[in-house]
Amino acid sequence: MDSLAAFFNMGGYGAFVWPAFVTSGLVLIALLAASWHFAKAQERTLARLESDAGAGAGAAEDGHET
Amino acid sequence: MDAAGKMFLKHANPQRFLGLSAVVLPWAAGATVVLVTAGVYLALFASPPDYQQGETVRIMYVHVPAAWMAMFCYSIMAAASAAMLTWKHPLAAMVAKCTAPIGASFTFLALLTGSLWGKPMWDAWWVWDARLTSVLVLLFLYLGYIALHNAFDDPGRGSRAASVLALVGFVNVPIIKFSVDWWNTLHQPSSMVTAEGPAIHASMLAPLLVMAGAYTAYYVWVLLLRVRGEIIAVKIRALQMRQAGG
Amino acid sequence: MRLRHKRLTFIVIGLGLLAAAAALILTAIEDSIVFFYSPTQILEGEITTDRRLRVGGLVEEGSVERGQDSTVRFRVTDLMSAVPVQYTGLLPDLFAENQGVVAEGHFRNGTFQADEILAKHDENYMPPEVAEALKASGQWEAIENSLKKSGAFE
Repeated sequence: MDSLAAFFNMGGYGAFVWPAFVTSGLVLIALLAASWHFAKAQERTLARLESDAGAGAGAAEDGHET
Repeated sequence: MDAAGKMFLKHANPQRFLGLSAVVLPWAAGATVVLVTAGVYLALFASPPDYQQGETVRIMYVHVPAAWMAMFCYSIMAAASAAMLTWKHPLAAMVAKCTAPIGASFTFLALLTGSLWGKPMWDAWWVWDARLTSVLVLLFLYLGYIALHNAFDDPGRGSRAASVLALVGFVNVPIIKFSVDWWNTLHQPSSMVTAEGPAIHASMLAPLLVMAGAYTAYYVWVLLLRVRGEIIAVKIRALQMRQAGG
Repeated sequence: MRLRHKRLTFIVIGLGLLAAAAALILTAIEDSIVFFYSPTQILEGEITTDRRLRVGGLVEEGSVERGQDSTVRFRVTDLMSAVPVQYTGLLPDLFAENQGVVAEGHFRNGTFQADEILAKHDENYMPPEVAEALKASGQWEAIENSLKKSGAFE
């Protein structure tokens, strides 16, 4: 118990060490989550458009090239 | 063109990039998770306090990698911008654009963790010395780049204007690196590049290098995600225009 | 292909000119970029001292005198010359003899009256046991020398 308290106390510098680690983690996780979300949303939209195009007008794809 | 150049252009094709990045993505994600876990364990549990700075030295393990990545990302952004302006390569343009928010985040974290380290050790949250000021300028360059990108209705013009800013601002990178050698600063000189080798004991160098590896893997992971998103967004726009036209 | 080469040449020349311009500007405004002056610069009259400024160097060994109500007197040295400093207030945790220090204030009758003291630490990192072992084996000199070569004494 004592050692746990000492760990969080960080030799009296806990008020500086912990915010440095926690904010670094939060900022990097937030950026990762936003990038992940963006990439997945684009993939979903593309899949939907392609299946729409495939189901609706498969011939339109070929006809378009002329 | 030489073989290496042909090889590069073959893989620099956006369609090929989608396939290649799908293979690399899980590895980058796995490396990030493993290295962050090992790095945080070493940084918080398995490394000693410093003989002068005590436990605050642990802030180094999140501060220094963030500062390194801030400069590394800017160098990538500037190189990709130069490639984009020279060869008009769409993938180079996307790499530059997608690196900007990642580099800006690293720069912000370097400034924030540095401030949290400066208060207990120097007795100041912030000083206007050459190192701190030039890193603040780096953050403004990133933000200016992102703002310029979004300032034009024509994305091509925004991309070109931002690329020119990225190249001009690259002057700041060597200024950051050498500021502590060229001028009197409150910030200490580099511990890694000294005449006698790194001035960091091995037990502290290990967590620092592992965390640096973790931050690099994280950059690759997030960059690949963002570039994939951009490429797919371009395909979506092309499909929508085709559907609207047909 | 020719157009590409032209653009690349333009970028390379542009960056070169920009670097040269930056170097000229930074050299010209060097005095406002440095964060502090060394005792030697001050005593040799390189700069005007009748204004607010910062003095940096090491806290001279054996020079620290603690007086009444948290007033402290010490000398800041760059190992060539030293400046006496007086300061009232809380000192940074890292303040100690032979440690880097930057004092901000102004000169009054040859003594530097500081109203702010910042600690400047060096770039060496090691566990306390290693520092003790180095001191015990007499290898500490090498560390001290590298410390003395570092930024504080330019």
